[in-house]
Amino acid sequence: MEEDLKTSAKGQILSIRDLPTLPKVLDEVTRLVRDPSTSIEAIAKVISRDQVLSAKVLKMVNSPVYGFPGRISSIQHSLVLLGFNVIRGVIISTSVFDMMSKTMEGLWEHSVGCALATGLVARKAGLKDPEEYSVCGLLHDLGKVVAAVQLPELHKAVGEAVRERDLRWFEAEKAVLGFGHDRINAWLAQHWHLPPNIKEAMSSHHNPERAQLYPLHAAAVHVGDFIVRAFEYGSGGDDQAVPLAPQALTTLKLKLGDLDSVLDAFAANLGEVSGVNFAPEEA
Amino acid sequence: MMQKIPLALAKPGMKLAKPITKANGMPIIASGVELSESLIARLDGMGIDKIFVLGDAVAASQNPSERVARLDRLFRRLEDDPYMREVKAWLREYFTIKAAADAAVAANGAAGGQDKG
Repeated sequence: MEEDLKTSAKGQILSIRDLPTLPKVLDEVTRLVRDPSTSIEAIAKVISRDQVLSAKVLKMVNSPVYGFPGRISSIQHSLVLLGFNVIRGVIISTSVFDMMSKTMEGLWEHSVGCALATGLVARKAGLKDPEEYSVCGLLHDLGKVVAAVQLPELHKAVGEAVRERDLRWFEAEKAVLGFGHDRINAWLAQHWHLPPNIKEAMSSHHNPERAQLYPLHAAAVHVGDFIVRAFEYGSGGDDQAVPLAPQALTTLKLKLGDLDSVLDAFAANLGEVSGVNFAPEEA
Repeated sequence: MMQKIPLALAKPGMKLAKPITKANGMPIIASGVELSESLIARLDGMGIDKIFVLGDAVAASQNPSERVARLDRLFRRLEDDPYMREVKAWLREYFTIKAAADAAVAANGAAGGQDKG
């Protein structure tokens, strides 16, 4: 019975008809990347053909979230500095939020804030390629946006459970749907062929101890999500702190006190990061 | 600065930036009114789901005194967990020190202004 609901909900969520279509250039680029002889110039050329998309990508990668503020002048440059996986994640998140920006108020800010915090945590922990961690933070709640559009009635019921029973969004999802956005994230990551580190961070950010292959990615996003909630920047759908898994810090070889400088940098960069907004301004 | 927020995120102490009106445009609550728990509950009862409030989200997030004031609310369902009590105490100390530093800078700034004057 419960499995039936899950299967039908999964079908509904992934029904191609309504799922946001990703920019065409992404398919083309994904094909190109499979061929190891493809040059970065060739990939950059394809992405640059979509000027609106390129402008959005450049705006995002030049924000303090990625650690090169205002220094990336072209798509080719962004691919060299950040790598294709990061650029692909940026394209997916901006495309999805672009089409669904009004579905969950505050979730875009929460996601950008989480990307900033996650990247800072990764740098503090001395991890290689911190930008890859930032993009995991950016995508960590994508399942909430997609569920809001694909399952509008259930989404509304989740919101009501948050309000009436004082639940966190994740708890309310499990109470109403029988599963959370972590599960939806895993389906989406599979569907969009996201790299396994991003997939595991998206699906395990609430339970980083369950991450099998990329515990560092899951742990960094877990801590990033906790930080953006402590600052209450944007909204993940409720106004509560999330339980912090002590093991996440152990995995990252960090102590609570090590996060003081992360909080400093987060607060200092928040103003600039808040300008990274693709939603049309509302009067 | 003004921002539109869902009622779910309204907090006591926020001030209305636009009046709340009925569907026919008749104002029910004037702009500038400070929200209280009971007013928020009443708005909820009236089926209001979005409101305009003064202030900007970034400033509230960056203000350490505001962060200290929000901790009890944020951690209300985690008080039974000893580790989360430790986490909360760490955040309280961090933001309290930041707030004191801000206050000291503000006081110096005011004194500096007087010197010049």
